Amino acid sequence: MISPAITRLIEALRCLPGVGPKSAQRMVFYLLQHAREQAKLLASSLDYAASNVTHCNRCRTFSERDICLLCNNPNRDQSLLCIVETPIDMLVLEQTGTYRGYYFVLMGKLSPLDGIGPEEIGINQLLERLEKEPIKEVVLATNPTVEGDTTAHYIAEKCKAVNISCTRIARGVPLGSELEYLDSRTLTQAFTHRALLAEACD
Amino acid sequence: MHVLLQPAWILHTRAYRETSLIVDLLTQDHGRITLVANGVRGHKKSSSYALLQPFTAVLVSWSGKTSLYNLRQVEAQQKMSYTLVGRRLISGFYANELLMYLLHRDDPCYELYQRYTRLITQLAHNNRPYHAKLRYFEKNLLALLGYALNLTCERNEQGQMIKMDANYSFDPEMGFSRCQNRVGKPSFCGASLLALDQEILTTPKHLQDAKQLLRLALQYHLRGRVLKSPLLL
Repeated sequence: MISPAITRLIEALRCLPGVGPKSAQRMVFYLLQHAREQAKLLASSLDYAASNVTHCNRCRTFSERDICLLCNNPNRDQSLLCIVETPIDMLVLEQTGTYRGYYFVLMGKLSPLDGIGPEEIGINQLLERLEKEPIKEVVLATNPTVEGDTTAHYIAEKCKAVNISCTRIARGVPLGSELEYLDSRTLTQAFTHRALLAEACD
Repeated sequence: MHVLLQPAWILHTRAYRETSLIVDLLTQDHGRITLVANGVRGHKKSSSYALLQPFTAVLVSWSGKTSLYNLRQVEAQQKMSYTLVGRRLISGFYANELLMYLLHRDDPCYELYQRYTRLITQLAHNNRPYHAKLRYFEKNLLALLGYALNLTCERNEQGQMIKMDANYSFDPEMGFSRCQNRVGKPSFCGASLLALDQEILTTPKHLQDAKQLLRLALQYHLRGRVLKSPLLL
């Protein structure tokens, strides 16, 4: 018989994506047998994060403060606002180090068939920021899916109403891939949005 | 059941488990169906994921015994790669919402597939007007579902013909009747009704009347469900 504490822990771990009963079992026994200290650290970190992390009041990303570290940084470019779907998108964009402005996280995307409308993605909060802050350009970095495009279009219309220029991240052939293996839609898009070779024209 | 390379349009997709999708399609010969596409999400399999986006015309093979089939193969239909933008994209979503809520699964309707194809083609060409085409699609969708509007006769016992210069009120259950200019109730001009019937909507007044009328009729069949896409316009 396995102790109820262990059964409970196995059940609890199964809430993670991709973790089935077998993996959960392995994790539990590993933690108890070889990593007691780390297990305590994991438990306390989880507890702290779950009770303290909320959303940043400015960009809506996850944060344990009212205003997140990035929004608090005065050295970033105030005239730029990048709009992303999820906090992970924001993280990967930050890791590239190419963008120096601020962010707004929608925490989702417009999807009429899933019942997700403008209110659910915090559009009022975004409009408030567009009015109050000296933003000159909004960069739409929503995913290149149909729902992502709908979201981008909707926000672009709102920006137009308040005279703020709006750009969308480019789409097309991924680096290191081959045209032969691309799907026809991506190829069509890449062809439609082909860009001038600046160096060659100089 | 095993179906090979059936022409279809993707209507909607939902994430399912870690790497799979649940996909709703409108097929040419099998009506609206729902499939599970296993292992298509994530960067490694992105080429079929790119095909499984709404408003993509595909050839699809599936198998299965229950009403949730398994996707076996998906290919793009050649020369049918359309991209909808802006308001046209939202109109496309509107059509998809109607199909998702009003169509029963596995109920074949070849004509609906043809009409949907024509609608999406129209929406994809940015220089062509599309409002009238959207109205004809709504009208024909109602007819194909068995709820056709009788746009030429009044609802009274004599079945008088709709007259160009008269005004009519509409009841989703009963049909049209001469309108005594009651305040608050929408009324429709006879000419608009006849133009919608013959699919020759041209003037803004006709288009406006047709839009209002079809909204009333569809609302009745949607049984109180609120569509989200009109909110985005």
